[in-house]
Amino acid sequence: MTRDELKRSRVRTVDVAAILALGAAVGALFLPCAARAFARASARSRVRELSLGRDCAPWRVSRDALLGVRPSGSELVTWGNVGGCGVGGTGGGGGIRWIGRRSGGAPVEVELLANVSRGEDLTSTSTSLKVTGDVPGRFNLGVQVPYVDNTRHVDDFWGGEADLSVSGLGDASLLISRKFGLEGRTSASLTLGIPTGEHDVQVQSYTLPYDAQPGKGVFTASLTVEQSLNRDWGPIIIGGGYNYGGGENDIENYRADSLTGYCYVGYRTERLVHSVGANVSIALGKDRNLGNEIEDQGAFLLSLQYGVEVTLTYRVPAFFAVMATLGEKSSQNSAALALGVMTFF
Amino acid sequence: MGHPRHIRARRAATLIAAAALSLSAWAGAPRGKAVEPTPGELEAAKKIGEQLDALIVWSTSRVSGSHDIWIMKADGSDARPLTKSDAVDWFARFSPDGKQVIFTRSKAPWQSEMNAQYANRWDIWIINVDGTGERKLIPDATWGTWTPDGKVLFSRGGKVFTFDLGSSKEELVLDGDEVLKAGVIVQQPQMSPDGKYIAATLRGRMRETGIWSLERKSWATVGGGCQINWFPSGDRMIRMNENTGRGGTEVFAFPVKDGAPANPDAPYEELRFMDLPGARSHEYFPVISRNGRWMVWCATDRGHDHDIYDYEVFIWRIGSPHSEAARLTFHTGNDRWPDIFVIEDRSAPAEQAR
Repeated sequence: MTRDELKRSRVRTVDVAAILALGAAVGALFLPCAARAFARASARSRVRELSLGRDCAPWRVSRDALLGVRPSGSELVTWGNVGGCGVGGTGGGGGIRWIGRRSGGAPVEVELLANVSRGEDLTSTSTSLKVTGDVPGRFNLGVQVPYVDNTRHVDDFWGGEADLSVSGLGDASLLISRKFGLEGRTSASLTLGIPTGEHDVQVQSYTLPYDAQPGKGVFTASLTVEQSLNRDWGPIIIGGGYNYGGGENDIENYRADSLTGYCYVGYRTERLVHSVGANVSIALGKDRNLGNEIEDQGAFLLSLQYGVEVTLTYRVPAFFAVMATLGEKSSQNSAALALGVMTFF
Repeated sequence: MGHPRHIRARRAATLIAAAALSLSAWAGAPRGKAVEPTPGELEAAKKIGEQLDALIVWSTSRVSGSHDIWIMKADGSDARPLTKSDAVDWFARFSPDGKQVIFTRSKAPWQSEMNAQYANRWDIWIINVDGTGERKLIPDATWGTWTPDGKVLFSRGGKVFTFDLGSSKEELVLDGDEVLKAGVIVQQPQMSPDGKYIAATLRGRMRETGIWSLERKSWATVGGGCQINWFPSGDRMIRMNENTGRGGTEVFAFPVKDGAPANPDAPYEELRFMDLPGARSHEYFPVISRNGRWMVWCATDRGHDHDIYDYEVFIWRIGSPHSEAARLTFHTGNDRWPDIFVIEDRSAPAEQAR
């Protein structure tokens, strides 16, 4: 192949890559919308099947009245960069963790991660915008704002079953992390959840279950410590932490504190970073909905993730991941899919 | 009416396979484009030119998306290609007399620097600084540097050899697989000015920087990071450190004695040597001039991969404020692994940085 042919070939492949990058970006933006439309159609279908009494008005969710939802999956996942001659990762919305070629070099990073998860009773989508920046003293600060949409199946909606949907702003998070050690391989992260999402949404005076509420109604916190081990082929990230659920909110919803441990392994090629990971969560109590303890809730949750980061363009890497969560009780099982894009400034 | 599920699944699989093929066919660094320097950057480079007459070689992807070796003056002027090949040319190093340059060339049109550990994908070549006399010097070899007595020191996986240009004879000087750990990769071996030690970055089964004593046949661990290198005085070294500094990296410097760090417990603040101010502060590839007064290296403002992202070449008079470092290249293609040969240094000796 001559030099000119080589150049033309590269131009063609860059064109293909640009189209794929654009597709990934558009997909990241519209994935939650598509999932929401699907969930609404499903909900309407189920509502039509309801046999409502003559004196009971047809159920209709008011979008103006219903705002927000909490991210699904693991609570307050850890986050932060892993730099150096390797690859790193960061936590994202909804428990999926972005493992990729992100290794610093830019003062500010912006990440958009769309996430769809489906469990037995809850279909949840969230699109999280996260902005993080390095500050002197080996600190990294950030803020994460999720826009969420939940569809929750309930059995006791005024005598019948129903799928109730809400969408809007979820609980925002403030992110603080610091690296330790001469090589900065150890990091501690503090994530503060701020109750910016609605936590007491009602539909026709029916209060949505706590896990479908947009927000938690209380401040939450998560403290994690992790160690990254760089290898020629990619990183190994091991960590764990304590998640404070915030206590009981004003409508007596309560999320138990929990312990989390996780391990992710990345394998990088020239343009791709494959990763697998496992996250184990142990609840230190039972959640409560309107003061009632959740009976069908086990303590253990195991999440398994596969992800691949694609360096489509040098400024906008994309990420795709799937995650399966297995609970101690079958009702806790769920599956999630995520698509994200990132850029640097 | 939609297609049956198995047909849809087959189409989806075909699409995914096509996307994967497109990605696998996509290789090479960006050619990028030239950018305008700011008046301040021009002024800083001009000041360098007033103090220093030197040549700088480096590897750039700006022509073809693979890399060629280019050469320029110390103020960034008169930049021109030294090699023009369809392969990846990188890691250029001036001979002690400054008349020749050795560099590593890929055998295939594109090889990522990630594949530097596979010696059979590379050869070491030599060329005169006027662009003549280009020839393959050592087959199946990477990371060629010069020894004080004019030989070439290079690595093949975990083994380090010297190559005598007169006799073309190779001599094994460090068998990392045997004396360190089987499966170790020895990168960027650099012989000390007194010829007693080899500094190197280890990868593969070990991951650290350190110093091999040729007399004692022993390895002294320096620490993490990479790209360890000597000051010409032999009593001081530099290395890259990661996860510290602006942009996630910075250059460390530390004293050495008898082939080991003189103060292995030196605090972080004492090790810091260069961390560029501003956004472009992800530094790599540092090398000290043979008169010990200048350092050249590259830095990018985003990303990390050495052969892809927008690294630019910088020069700094050691001991002067970091803000006086001058940027010498202005191109969004990848620029990496510079080396400097000083012809005449008119600068006033600066107080040595700690």
